[in-house]
Amino acid sequence: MKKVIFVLLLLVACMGPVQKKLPQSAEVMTGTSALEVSFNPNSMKDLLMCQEANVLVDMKNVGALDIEGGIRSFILEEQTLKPVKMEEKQKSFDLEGKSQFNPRGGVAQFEFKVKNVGLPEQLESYDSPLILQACYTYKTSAGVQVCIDPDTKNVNPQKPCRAEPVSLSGGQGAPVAITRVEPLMVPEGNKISPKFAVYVQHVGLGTVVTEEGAELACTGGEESKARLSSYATVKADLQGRPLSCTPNPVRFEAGKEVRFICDNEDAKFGSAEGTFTSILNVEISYGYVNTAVLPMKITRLPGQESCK
Amino acid sequence: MVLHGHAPPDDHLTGELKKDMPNWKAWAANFVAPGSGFLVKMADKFKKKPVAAAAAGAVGGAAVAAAVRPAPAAPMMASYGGSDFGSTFKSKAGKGLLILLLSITLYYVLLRLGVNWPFDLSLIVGLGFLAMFAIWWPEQVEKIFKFIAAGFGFFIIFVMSALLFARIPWMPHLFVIGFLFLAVFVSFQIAGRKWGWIIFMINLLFYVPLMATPMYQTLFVPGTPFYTAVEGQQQAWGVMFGGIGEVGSQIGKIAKEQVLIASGDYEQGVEAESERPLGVFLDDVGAVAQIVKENEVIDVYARLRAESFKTVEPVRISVRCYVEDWAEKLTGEIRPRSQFSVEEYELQDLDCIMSAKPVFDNTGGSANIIIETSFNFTTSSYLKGYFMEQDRIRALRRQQLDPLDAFGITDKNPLAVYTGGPLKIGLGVGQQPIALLSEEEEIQILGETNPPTAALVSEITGAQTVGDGTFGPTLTITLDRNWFEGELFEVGKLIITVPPGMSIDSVSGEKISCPVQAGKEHTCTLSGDLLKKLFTSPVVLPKTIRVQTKINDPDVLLANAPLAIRSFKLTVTYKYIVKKEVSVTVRPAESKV
Amino acid sequence: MKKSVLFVLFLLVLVSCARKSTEPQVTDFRYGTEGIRMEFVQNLPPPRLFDREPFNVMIQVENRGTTTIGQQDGAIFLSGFDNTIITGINTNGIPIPELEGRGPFIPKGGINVVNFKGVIQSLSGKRIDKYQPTILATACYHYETVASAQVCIDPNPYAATSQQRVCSPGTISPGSQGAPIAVTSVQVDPSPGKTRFTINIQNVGGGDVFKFGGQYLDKCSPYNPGLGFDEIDFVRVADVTISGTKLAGCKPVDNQGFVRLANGMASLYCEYGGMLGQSAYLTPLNIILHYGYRQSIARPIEIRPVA
Repeated sequence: MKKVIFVLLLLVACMGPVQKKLPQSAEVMTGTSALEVSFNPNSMKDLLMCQEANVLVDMKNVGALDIEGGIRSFILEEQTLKPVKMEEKQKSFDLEGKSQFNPRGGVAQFEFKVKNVGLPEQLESYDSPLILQACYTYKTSAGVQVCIDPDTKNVNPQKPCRAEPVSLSGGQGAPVAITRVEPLMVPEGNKISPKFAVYVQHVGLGTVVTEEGAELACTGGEESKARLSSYATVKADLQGRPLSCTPNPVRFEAGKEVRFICDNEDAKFGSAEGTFTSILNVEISYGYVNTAVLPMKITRLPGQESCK
Repeated sequence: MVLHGHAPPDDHLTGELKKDMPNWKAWAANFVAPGSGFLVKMADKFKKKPVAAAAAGAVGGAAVAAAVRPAPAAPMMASYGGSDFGSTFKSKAGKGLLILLLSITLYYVLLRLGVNWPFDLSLIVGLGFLAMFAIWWPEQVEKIFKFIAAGFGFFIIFVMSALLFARIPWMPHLFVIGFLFLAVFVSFQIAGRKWGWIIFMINLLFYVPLMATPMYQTLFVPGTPFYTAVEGQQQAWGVMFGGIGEVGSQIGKIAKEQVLIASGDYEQGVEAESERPLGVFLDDVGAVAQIVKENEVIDVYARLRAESFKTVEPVRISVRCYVEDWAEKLTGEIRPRSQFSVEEYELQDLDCIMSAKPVFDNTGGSANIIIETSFNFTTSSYLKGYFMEQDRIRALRRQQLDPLDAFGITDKNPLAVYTGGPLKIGLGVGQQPIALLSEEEEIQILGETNPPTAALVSEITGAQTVGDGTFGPTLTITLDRNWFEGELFEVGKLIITVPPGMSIDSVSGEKISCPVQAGKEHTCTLSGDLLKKLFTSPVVLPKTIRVQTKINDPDVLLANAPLAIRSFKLTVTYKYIVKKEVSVTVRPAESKV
Repeated sequence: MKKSVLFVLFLLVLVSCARKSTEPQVTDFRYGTEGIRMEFVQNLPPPRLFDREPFNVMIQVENRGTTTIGQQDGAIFLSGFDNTIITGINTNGIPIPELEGRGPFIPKGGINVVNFKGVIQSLSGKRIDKYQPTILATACYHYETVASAQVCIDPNPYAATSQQRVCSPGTISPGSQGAPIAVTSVQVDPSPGKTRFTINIQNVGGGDVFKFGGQYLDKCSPYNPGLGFDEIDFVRVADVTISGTKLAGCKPVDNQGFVRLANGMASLYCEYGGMLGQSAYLTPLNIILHYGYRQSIARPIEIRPVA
């Protein structure tokens, strides 16, 4: 036993200084969702004829951006179910997104009361869906670390970085995600003009519309199909210098990556700048629509005829 | 029945039993005819067979005769390896006789003890003797039985089925048909192909007319086993073929439906769940007596059951009865009454009483009495519709999204839900969601000038101005039978309701005009001449009509929402007739029934 | 037990009875394969920084070779980061301070530090969680390799008479010379009247060698277009002397005196015809090489926005 203790002490003494690990900070700019809407399980799905029902809605902003001026709207079969307060049927909302000081994002819950105004005669029960739509403008912002390498001939093998494609996984805290960036160092004389092929994809569960179409998506009225189409505008800059991107706006297709290329003809880098890592800022602006459905069942009690 | 005529092998009695055989013979004879046992012993002893046989026969008793009978059959018996009368019971014939005697004995003993035998002794005796003859004279019996069985085997089976399986409706005919095939097969095996076919044809020619025609009613006395057997067979076949026919007609109906659905001329629906079946039903229909004399009264009964939702108007039911094909002349009286008013539930036993004499005079005796109920009924149907701006639909489709999927709607092709009853009502509005076109777009589709002139608009759309409402969806309504029985006599009232913001323009091309209240559902009630024009009585089902609508105010329809869920409603009040029939036979007054 | 105690005592006696030298010993100082050694001073920079903070990088520079480096002999450059994010770092680099090389009486070369000071700009507008550049410190300097070896010269290697020879010509390994470019071996190939030497040179320092000269030193900077292919892997043969006689005409040396290294190695062929006498003798062969040298160290850092 003493020998064991002696050996252990020897080992402990011989161990080098313990390397302290850096504390991990919460990653805010990750995730593939923005707003999550759902009906609370405590919502009343079954109601009797002529009765009221309380429906609870949970909204969580798990994205990286605050939502401001969003609209939430209920769609219901008004011949059967009517809102108790009409003004609650369509309302605007704001919800804070994730941040370092609020890594989980903002949460809101609200109540919506509906009342059954009667059933078609001779029907004992009737199914009617209650649909909630949340429409808002959103942005996907990402700072992608890219290598600017004017040494296209690889004269200096010892480089701090290499101009290689950068893959981004896990999203940027928005339903539209930048999936990868491919830098291209295009030689122009003795300098290079970097171009960036940016790939984005709609990875959320809702629907992408144009930024102008966000409000329209939740309200009726005359609208042009262009505003409700799945388009987003893009912006990019490198070292504070804006880049021009084409195509812009970019159109999303379900399940497919779309690409746009950004560059700045005036932004050239020569050997004087050396090889270095910089940040390519990409911002994609769009409108987004989330939907949740609560199937409701209205039952007639024996003897009930109509609601007065 | 075909018997094999080969000689049985040696008997298999045990030694002990063999010892007691002579005593048994005498004992059995004594039991049947006391004192005859002595004669049996004597006959046995002196081997004076003819004398003993005659003496035994003079004493009487079937058992005695049977016991002695082996004596004349001795030569034949000798061929079995025994000339001695005492060896009678050693042979199979002897064993058969013994069993017969024992059966008879047992029958009487149990009868005396109180057992109520369902069959007659004569049946047992007859079968027993047949068996013994087959054993003693197998070749001869074989020939006879071949003929009898081939020719009349089915009689026996009929009788057996009537007596044994009378209460089970489907068994007799299956039993018989099984034996038919078995008998034919055996006949072929034994008689050969030529005689097999002859036997088969004889039976077929006999069997088919018997089953297919009412000739048994003249051939056999009603109430007797033959009569009962044939009647039971016919009823069994009738039920079976009736079911097949119904299935066949259902298959045909479904096929026809599919053709109509494919051509867009049939709208489907589903029946609403209901705790109890709705409608008017005639249950337990029958006749007090299926054969009556002409000087008697025909009494046909039924149970009327009516179940309905409580409605503003009660359901009025009329009942009447008459002889088929003699609806005006030969009618009966319904007791306790022929008119009923049902609010929710009614259960009433009815009788149709009519005199048999006129029936006999007019029909010759065989008549179908029909009990007919006619009642007004109301069936409602509801169809959910989804409305969306055309531009929005296009924008979603461009994103390869189903417009209804984008709103989380799972019931994308809702079917009409109709309430229970004799009719089913299908509703359809075409592809969902229903696209709301802008006025300009609609006119551009129709018109050739851009922008179209007011004159052209008026000419094409029939609208006075462009703002007179754009075309709405066409509501297709299909009425079809929901019950197997009955028929739709006439449609009394048709109430169509479309969502607010819409109005009904015409029905199957017939313009109609009902007042529209802004912001409310538009309801039109059709009745009178228009309905008679649309539904000629009696109505041939399925029947489809088309309702053309207009969109007067899309904002009201959509209610400032990207998607509107609205209902189309239809209520049909109609007169439905249900008939049930009972066969009755009227005999002359002097006949035996 | 007694034997072991006796043995220990015996060792103690041996040690204590060893003569102490009164004269100072001249130790061989030409060893090692490094020129300059650079190291980031611990926590400068720290592994994690925040924006809107000063950015300090301190590099300890030590002369691990035998050549003294003056201020004009090289500079250290800091690169690898976006100069709009980390500002204030001079792209001209900081001249390497004077560092004395190791010598016979200087057991350890000079050590100094080089300090880079900059400022980290705000990252909040960049919408990123962190910026993770790799900081690269590159040293570009002139250096010298002095290799000295005792070689055996045999004027008459194949003489018929047998004579007692002092030495036999062969291959000599001088070992490391306290420089990143080393003369790894010298092959002596005697012949009557001439002795040929094959001098093998190798880049043992782990860095890049390039032509000696001020203009090449400038090109070495990561902020310059960079050295061309005809500028890298060249060593200037400054001097090859034997017995005080300079060996000229060594091959393959270009007209500027440079020899190219291939795969980090080169071979120099020299001839010596001024042999004395008939018998073999040892004489020193001195080789001096001049070159420029580049080496780098890297450190990844993480910069996070504060808000």
